[in-house]
Amino acid sequence: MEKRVEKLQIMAADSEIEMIEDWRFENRSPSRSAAIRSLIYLGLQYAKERPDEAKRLLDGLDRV
Amino acid sequence: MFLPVDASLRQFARAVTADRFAGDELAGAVIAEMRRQGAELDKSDRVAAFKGFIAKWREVSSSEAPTAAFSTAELIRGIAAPPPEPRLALLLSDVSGFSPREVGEILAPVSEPVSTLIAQGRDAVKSRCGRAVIIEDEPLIAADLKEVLEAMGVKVVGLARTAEMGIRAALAERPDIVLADYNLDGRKTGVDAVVAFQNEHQCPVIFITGYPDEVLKGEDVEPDFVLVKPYTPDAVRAAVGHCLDTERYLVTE
Repeated sequence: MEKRVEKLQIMAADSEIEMIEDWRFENRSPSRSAAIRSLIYLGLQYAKERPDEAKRLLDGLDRV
Repeated sequence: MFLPVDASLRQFARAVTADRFAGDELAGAVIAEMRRQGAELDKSDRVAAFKGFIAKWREVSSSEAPTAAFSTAELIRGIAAPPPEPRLALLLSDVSGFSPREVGEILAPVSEPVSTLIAQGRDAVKSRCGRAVIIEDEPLIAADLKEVLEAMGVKVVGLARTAEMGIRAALAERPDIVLADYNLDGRKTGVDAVVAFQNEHQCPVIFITGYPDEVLKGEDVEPDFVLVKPYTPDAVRAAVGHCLDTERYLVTE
């Protein structure tokens, strides 16, 4: 049968993983993968509904 | 024969991190930081491109300015700081194939003469403990690699002629490092062998190929760490010694 999902690898600093884990527990997400999927969904929705604000946030990320 | 500049930088970053994924992320992130500050990678000049790359990597790693979570700078700092001068000089010279003069230009200003730095780098990798599997279908090359490895103290626990034998040897022996020919005679390549055992056993893999531009194309199945034939014993020692020194990035669940 054709594979319909793929394992997705990302690199994240320990402190970033901790932020994801905190979000996971606050939101009762069943797994880290589920939490990351939820956060990606939220990010994509946000970018779609408020594109200007999303772009401003992203542009500011690398300009600390 | 030289690879395109971006493939060269990926190969170098994979060598430094001894990890394909981390190396590619590092190379991409440093190039993105250069671009963000208006410094395009000079693809026509390999020395200038490496000089710009290493300068930016050093700048981001040594900066004490705070970085935001999930920013490019945070990723660069998290993956790796540039190794000390002798190790950088060794990798640039013996793995990436730069002449001593070019190494000097890339790392300038250097604290000692480049020949001293390269000698220090070579000295630091000349002996290592470890266990290796070699996947190579040409008996003379296999024997030559075995000799270089054993002379530095690395025990060769498996010599495989085919991808299938390589998979069996890697799973049975669980070596610290694998050296694999990219173009094995037959249906399967060294990459097929590595893909087949890496879910069960993670270790650094050094690919040896006469055709680097065919294997470093930026596609999904690019090999991790590439040594170009004809290789020198110095290149093998540098690659193996450095890989055995470097801590692997573990996949966390």
